[in-house]
Formats: sequence, C-alpha cells, structure tokens
Amino acid sequence: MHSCKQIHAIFERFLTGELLPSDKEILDQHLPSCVDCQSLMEIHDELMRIDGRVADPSPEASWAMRSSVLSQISQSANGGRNLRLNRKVSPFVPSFAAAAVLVLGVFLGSWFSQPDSVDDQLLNAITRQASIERSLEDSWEAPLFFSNVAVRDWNDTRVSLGFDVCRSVDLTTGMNSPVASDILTHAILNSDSMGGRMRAMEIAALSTDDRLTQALVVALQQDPDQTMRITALNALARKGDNEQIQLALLGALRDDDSVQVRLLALEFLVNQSQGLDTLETIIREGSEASNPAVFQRVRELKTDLSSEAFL
Amino acid sequence: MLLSDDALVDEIHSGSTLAFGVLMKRYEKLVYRIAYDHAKNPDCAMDISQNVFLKAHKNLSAYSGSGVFKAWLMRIAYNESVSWFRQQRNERVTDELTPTNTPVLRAVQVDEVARQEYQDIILSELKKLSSRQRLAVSLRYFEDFSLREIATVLNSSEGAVKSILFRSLEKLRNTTTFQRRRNYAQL
Repeated sequence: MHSCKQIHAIFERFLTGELLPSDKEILDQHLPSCVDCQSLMEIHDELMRIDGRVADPSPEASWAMRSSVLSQISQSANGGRNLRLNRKVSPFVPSFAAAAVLVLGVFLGSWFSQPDSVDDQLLNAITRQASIERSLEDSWEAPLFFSNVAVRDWNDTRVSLGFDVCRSVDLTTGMNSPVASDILTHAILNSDSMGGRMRAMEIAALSTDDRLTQALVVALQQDPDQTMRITALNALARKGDNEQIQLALLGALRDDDSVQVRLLALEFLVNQSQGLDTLETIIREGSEASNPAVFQRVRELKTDLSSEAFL
Repeated sequence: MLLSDDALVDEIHSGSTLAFGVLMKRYEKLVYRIAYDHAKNPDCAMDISQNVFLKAHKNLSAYSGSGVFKAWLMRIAYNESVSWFRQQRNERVTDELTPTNTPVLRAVQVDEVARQEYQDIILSELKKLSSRQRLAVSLRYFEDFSLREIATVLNSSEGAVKSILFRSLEKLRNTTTFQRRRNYAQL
C-alpha cells in the first residue's frame, strides 16, 4: 500500500494532466482507503466545475482604456511626452468619453437642423474629432462619431458620406488625406456595419495609403465574416504584389478556416507567379480539414501547366 | 482565424499601433481579471490594466518572441498588480463582494444547494491563499493556462508550479473541510 506522501508526486502529475498509466492504477488503489486524498480530489473536481472569473469590465471602460493607451503610444512615437502611467485618472475616462459623445451628438443635432453650410460644418467636426481621437486603429467597438458614417463615393478630390442611412453629404478632401485615411480605416474595421466594411474595402483597394493596406490585411486575418475576408482578399490582390500583401495572401492560404478563401488566395498567388510546389508545402502546414479541396486545385493547376507546356 | 501574437509583435516592431490595439483587445479581459484579483475594485483594476499595457509596449523589445506572449504579458500584469497592492496596502479597501464583482458560477444542471454552498466556500477560501498560489490556481482552473505558461508568469520552474498547485489544493482542502464541519455543526 502506498503512503499519502508517495501519492503526492502522482497527484502533482495528475493536477497538471501528466498522469502516467501506472500512476492511475496506484491512485485507484489508494483513493478508496484515504479520506484526505479523496478530499483533495474533490477540491480538484469542484475547481474544474467552478467559473471563478470576475465579471468582465464594461465595453465602454475597456474602450476608454485602450484609447488612452494607444493615444499615449502615438504621442510618444511622434516625439511627444513620455508614456504616462496612470494611477488615479481612469475612473473619469469613461464618463469623459460619454460626455464627448453627448457633446458631439448635441452638435450634430443642431447641425442637422441647419441645412446651410453643412459640408463645412461636417468637415470641421470630422477634422476636429480626428485630431482629438487618434485611436481610430481601435475601431471595432469605437462608439463614437464615425460609427454613423458610411462611405458612399470616393475619388481624388471628393468624399461622399452617409449618416444614419437616410442623410448624406459631400466633403471635399483628397483620398490620401489623414482624415480620409482615418475614416476608411475605421470603416474597414467597424464591426457594426457589414455594408460599410465592404464599401470601404472596395475604396481602399484604389488607395496607395499604407495604413489602408494594413487595415485590409487585419480584416483578411481577423474579420469573422467569410464574405468580408474575401472582399479584403480581392482588395489586396488588386493593390499589387508587394511583400506585405504576399505574406497576407500566404497566411490566408495556410490558415483561413474557409476553403473558399484559401482557394481564392491560391489563385491570386499563382497569378503572382508563386511556384506551385512552394504553395503546396505551405498548404500542408495549414488546417487539415480544408486541405483536400485545396490540394485538388493545386493538382488541377499543375495538370493545366503541364498540358500547356506540352502544347 | 487569428494572427498569432508573435506576428502581431513583429507588426508592432515595424511601427504598427493597430497591431498593439489587436493584442490589447485580445488580452484585456485576462489582464483585468489578474488586476482585479489584487485591486478588488473595477476602476483600480482598469488603472492597473492601462499601466500593464503601457509597460508591455515600452518593454516589447525585451520579449523573446518565442510563442509565450500571453504568459509574458500576464507576468507584467501580475508584477504590476502586486506592486500596486503594496503601494495601496496602508489604505486598502475592504474586500466586499458586490453584484458586479461576485464570482459568476457556471450554470449547474441540477439544483444542488449543497454543492453551491461548497463552491462558495472554495471561492471564499481561495481568496485567503497567497497571491502566487491564488494566481496559479486561477490560471490553471479558470483560464486554462498550460503548466509552462504558468511557470513563465510566476517566473518559476514547472516543477515549482506543480508544487504550488499541490500546496494550494492542500490548503483549500484543510480550510474547506473545517468550514464545512463548522457549518454542519451550526445546523
């Protein structure tokens, strides 16, 4: 018969899921006769059942925290002041953000009732907002001004934006202006509006702004909706074949859950003259579930190539 | 499908603030929970979380990039929380359970009052463990961390973590058995 002390080593392995086959037999023999070890096992079982996590923070508080961090990082990167560690301020940040939204809401409300010079007022409002809140990178949940904006039309000198579906207004600003880049980045990553994301991705395909390319890459990698990832993939493929885009396409070929996205990535990469053998190796590293269909397509492409060479 | 932590870290090194935003979003709840465990107050936990992310960004060059970003970040969270706790020790607020910070129990299929009571006792005794023991148990049982990740967070060997977990369970067993007996005697 083993003593409790001998059992402890086995129990430590049990707690971390490293139990050996011989350990199980020893435990089975020991437990029925030892109340202490039974209680230990009982605690382990209960802990496995309990969800001891505390309630999550509110989305507003999280958003305010992230905005504050990103804003401090941006300022620091731009040669501004050093990062400031917070001790007392943040309880007020959510209420400050809410107040900012309220003020903007009041401003927009009064503005909508005055049809004259709306373009200027809107442009001013957006410019002011963009200069205050430089955290549009964090656009998934940003419950601010830009959430109501949809991009309707865009060219080198003009931006057409829609508000709350039924209102629209034209702005005069270039596609590569910082404000335009902010709005489009936000729209590409804005989880609230699928239509807005799709339109923004199509427009971003025409821009040369690196930040928009980066936003498209993030959308391709992270957007939960397959249609959106396909739109991002198409937009990136239209932008050309620089290294960042190629890496994103290779990542989609290897890792995307959707066979459709992987097949599309494969087509684009083949068009960009990537070797089929290399692509086959990359596919092999990816998710097993989608591999057969993608391999089948590689085989077809290889057959096409060899017939072409024969002809 | 998610971009790996290390790939995002590479993006940050290339100057992408966006990538850091993604990492923050990915781990903010975990960081918050560790902070809350020490601060016992949502606002203070959020303050600590903010400091954790600022420190992580500032010291990102020290991260080795070997696939343990989550554990590396949690180590900063733990150190920052402990340091906050030490600073606040003298004016520490009482640890009260309010509706917002009461631990949420998973839905129990059968109505087992005794089990609920037992789980409440375990959770209450868990708070009395040392900070390291509490963290090890929380990460192992509530956050599904691997042994290696817990070792990185605690800056210990995997063997030491096994030992910490075992001692924590022993303590919980001893105190909860006592509590249950006392409750039983009061009936």
